[in-house]
Amino acid sequence: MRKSLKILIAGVVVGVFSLSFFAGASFSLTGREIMEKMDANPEPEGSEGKLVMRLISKTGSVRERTLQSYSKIKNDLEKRYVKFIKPADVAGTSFLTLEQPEGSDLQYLYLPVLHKVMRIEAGKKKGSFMGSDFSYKDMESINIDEWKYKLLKEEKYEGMLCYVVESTPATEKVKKETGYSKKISWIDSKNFLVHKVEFYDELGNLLKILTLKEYKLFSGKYWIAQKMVMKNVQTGHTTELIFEGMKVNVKIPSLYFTPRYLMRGE
Amino acid sequence: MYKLARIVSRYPHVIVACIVILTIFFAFQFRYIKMETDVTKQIPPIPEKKYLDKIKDIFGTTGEYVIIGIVAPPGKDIFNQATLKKIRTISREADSLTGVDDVISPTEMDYIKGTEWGIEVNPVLGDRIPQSYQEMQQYKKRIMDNKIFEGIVSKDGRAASIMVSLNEKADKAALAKKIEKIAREEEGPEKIYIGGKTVVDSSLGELMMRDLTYLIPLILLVIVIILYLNFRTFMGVLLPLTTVAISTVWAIGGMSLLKIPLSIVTFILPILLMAVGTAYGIHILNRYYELSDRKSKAKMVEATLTKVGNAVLVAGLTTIAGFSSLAVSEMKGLRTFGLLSAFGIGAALCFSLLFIPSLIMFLPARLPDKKKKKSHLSPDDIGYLSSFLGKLGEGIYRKKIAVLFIAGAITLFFVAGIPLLSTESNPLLFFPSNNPYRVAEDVLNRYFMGTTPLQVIIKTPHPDGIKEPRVLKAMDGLENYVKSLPYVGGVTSINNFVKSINKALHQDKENFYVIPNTRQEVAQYLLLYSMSADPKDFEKFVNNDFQMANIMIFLKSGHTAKIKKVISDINSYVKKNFPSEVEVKVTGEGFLFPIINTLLVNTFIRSIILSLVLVFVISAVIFRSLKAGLFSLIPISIAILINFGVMGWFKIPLNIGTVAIAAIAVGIGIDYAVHFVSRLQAESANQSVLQALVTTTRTTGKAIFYNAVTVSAGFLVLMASSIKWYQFMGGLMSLVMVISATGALTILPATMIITRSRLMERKDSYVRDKY
Repeated sequence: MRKSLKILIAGVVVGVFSLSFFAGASFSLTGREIMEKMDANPEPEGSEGKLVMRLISKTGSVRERTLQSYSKIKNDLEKRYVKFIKPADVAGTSFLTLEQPEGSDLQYLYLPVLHKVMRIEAGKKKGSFMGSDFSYKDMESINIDEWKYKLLKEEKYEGMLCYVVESTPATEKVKKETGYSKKISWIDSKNFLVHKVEFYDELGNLLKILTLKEYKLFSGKYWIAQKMVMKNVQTGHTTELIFEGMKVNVKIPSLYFTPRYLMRGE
Repeated sequence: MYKLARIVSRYPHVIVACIVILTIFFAFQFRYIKMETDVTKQIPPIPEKKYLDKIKDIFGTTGEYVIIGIVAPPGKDIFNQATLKKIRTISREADSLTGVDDVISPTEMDYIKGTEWGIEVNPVLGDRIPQSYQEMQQYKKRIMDNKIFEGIVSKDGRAASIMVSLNEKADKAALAKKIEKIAREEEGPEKIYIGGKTVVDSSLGELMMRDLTYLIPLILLVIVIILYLNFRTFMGVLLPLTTVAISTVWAIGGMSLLKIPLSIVTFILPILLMAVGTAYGIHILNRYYELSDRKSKAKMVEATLTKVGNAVLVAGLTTIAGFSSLAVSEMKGLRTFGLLSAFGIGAALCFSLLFIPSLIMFLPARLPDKKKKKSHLSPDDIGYLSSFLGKLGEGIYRKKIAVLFIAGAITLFFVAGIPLLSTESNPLLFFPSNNPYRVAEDVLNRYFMGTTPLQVIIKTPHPDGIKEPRVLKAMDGLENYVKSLPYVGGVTSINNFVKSINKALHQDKENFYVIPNTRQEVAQYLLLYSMSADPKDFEKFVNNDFQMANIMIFLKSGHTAKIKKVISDINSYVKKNFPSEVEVKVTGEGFLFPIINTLLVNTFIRSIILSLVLVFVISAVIFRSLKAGLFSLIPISIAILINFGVMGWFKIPLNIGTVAIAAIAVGIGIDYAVHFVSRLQAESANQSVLQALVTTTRTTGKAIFYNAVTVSAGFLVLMASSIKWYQFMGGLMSLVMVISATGALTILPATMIITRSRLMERKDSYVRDKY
């Protein structure tokens, strides 16, 4: 699997970054070097926890979805099991993703109404993830070579010295696929963690602002944001992703990551 | 007027310099001029329009597409490598453009298929275009058997459409041009047709620009001819021509200064200003030539202005009043058009009163003596026309009852046509019927879903309410009903997905192409789809909290009346068949045309009333008599009635252009009556009614005749436009001018004599000495 910034499918956001080798030192780095450092932060070998997704409309009404998730990384390949708890009409639906060394991932979905496990073809998805302000593309791994980087400036952001890096799509194809003409990221100079990202739409207008909050240190080396807020400035809609009771590197039985187990989840 | 005359004769240089500088200033504003051909932009922010804008934000679409139709040559269909390759090339190249949101095409779309594992959502055509006969037949079967391709590929397989949706914030006109270019490159032997509102609007803009490039020279030529026939001198042509040219430059310059785009309404402004403005210059110069025996130039200019200034001023003011009455329209384009025209006419008026006399003063040489070529307007002139008009006056006096009877009969005949008057706001119908875009619309409407979009928005009281089967079933019922209505070419909604998934999950059995019975099924099917394919597919049809749904309807006709019928049918169906807590609203781009129609009718009624009131007040003040004010309204009222009667009989619809005719016509046409009444009044002071009438028809009557001919000829130029509604407008305006002039010469005196108006005995008037 690629070394990449992982904001994983099904919302298990493993925004995982380690203590940096350069604790706080500010050398003159290029935009690309900063992104590589961020990308090089270590990731845990698995995690479990509850994920609450809060969809907040422009007028302030809130809808909640709750998912239970388990993941395990072995040989750089991730296995992930996710079960829907809320809302009621999809409760019991569960989902398994098995990353493959070659080709597209294997994905299985269990639908209680059909009592049936189905295999899903992971197609090209541009749309919104479960009605949230995150698109499937936002959730996917980012290939560092697909973007070009430029260090715009260094500035204080919430008390931290941050690099402000602009990423632009390296090709027209990337721009069309992600729908972004530009991203601007605030990355702190101490741990190389992302704190804020601005997304610009194809026509160059500011579209969304992502903020990553409540970074928590796990096992003394993994920094994981416990709350992510994506605000669509064009629609006024906001999505919050909140982890509850996250644990890393826990032993999860291999059985969890089999299609057969999906049916038992009910 | 005398004071003004003194100023002009003393400071001609200053006046000329000021005007020249201002003209240059206004001419420089031309480069900022913009085009705005989208007729729906004329709608003020009324609730319906705001609602549509909100819907546009929520669903990201109004069903407005650039539609490309590819039609195979006779005897062939699109299922061959060469044609499919073309469809693919156009689809993919269009999709790669920045600002293109989505492309629906038979080579790029996904389709839902049931498998033993669940469902698969795959491209209907892989990256490889079928090579073998068998592969091609399989692809053809996939397309022809699947409901989602209905309206995208024609039933006979001969034609395929590519529907490109554009981002609301992009420069849609420019994108439409790029897409058209991409498509045109693939033309032959297949025929390519391009349509949709964006395309229509942008090509309308081009057509208008092209029209202006020949209409302006044409009207200048017409004016030159008229002026030459009238004066037969170089100066006689040059001075009024300069005047109208300058006032047009001012109006257009002012327009771009105020960032007002050249719209389908303001388009006629230059033509109109030139046609109307020329008359003022003619009056001034005529009088000047009549007086050309006076000693000094200054004296002559002063005398001209004192004598004729008031009359020209009054004529200008009534015209300004007529145009200004359009300010009551709720439609921005008509409002600005009315005010800009009023400004332009005001400018033309000022120039006629200031610039022409100043120039006369300014020019070193005297104007050529015109003593030998008598002006048409001098009272002692015995021309054919004058003697005819004199006889006409006499005839009217003797047969006054017959005149009124005939006029009444003619008017009644046309009034009977008024109930037949229709309204039409779809700009497409203003293209000539052989225009390529008009042809394209017809072809696209014949083979595919249709080019006029409507939307039905369903709103439930709570989030996720759309997933309730009873809501979906109510929607499904509505969709089936709508499909059965005439002119409906296609209906799509979230139900297409729900039903297709249900069917795919049940061994593709046709009897599962229905809405499932439980909310859990609906929710989980949709979740399955969003994980198997692109959930962006839903964004057009449901909002992100599933509280609202959007049913897209495509109509095969853009006729406003037909759209209206479909809307009212939908509304009455909804009333009977929908759960009461569900809110259902019809909107969409097509919905705006009926709204524009309502606004048009409002404008129509308000502007006619206001313009009649305004000119009544002006003429009542001039004559210091309410009765005289009323008399002056007679010819123009008849002219307007006949105009709308003609439109009714000949099925010329009321639209954003023709709606303005009445207000304009009142403002211009009233002058004829005012001139006529004031002259008749003056002449009656010292001779019999018959003599006074004959003198009036011979002198003022002739002036009115020339004025009407000038203005009509100007408007007739519009008939050379390639756009239908300008042709209508030109023809109708000319007709109205001719009728109101004729009415002023016939019906007006007949009425005055029959009612034994005391007006004829009055001796004081502001405008007695006009002619």
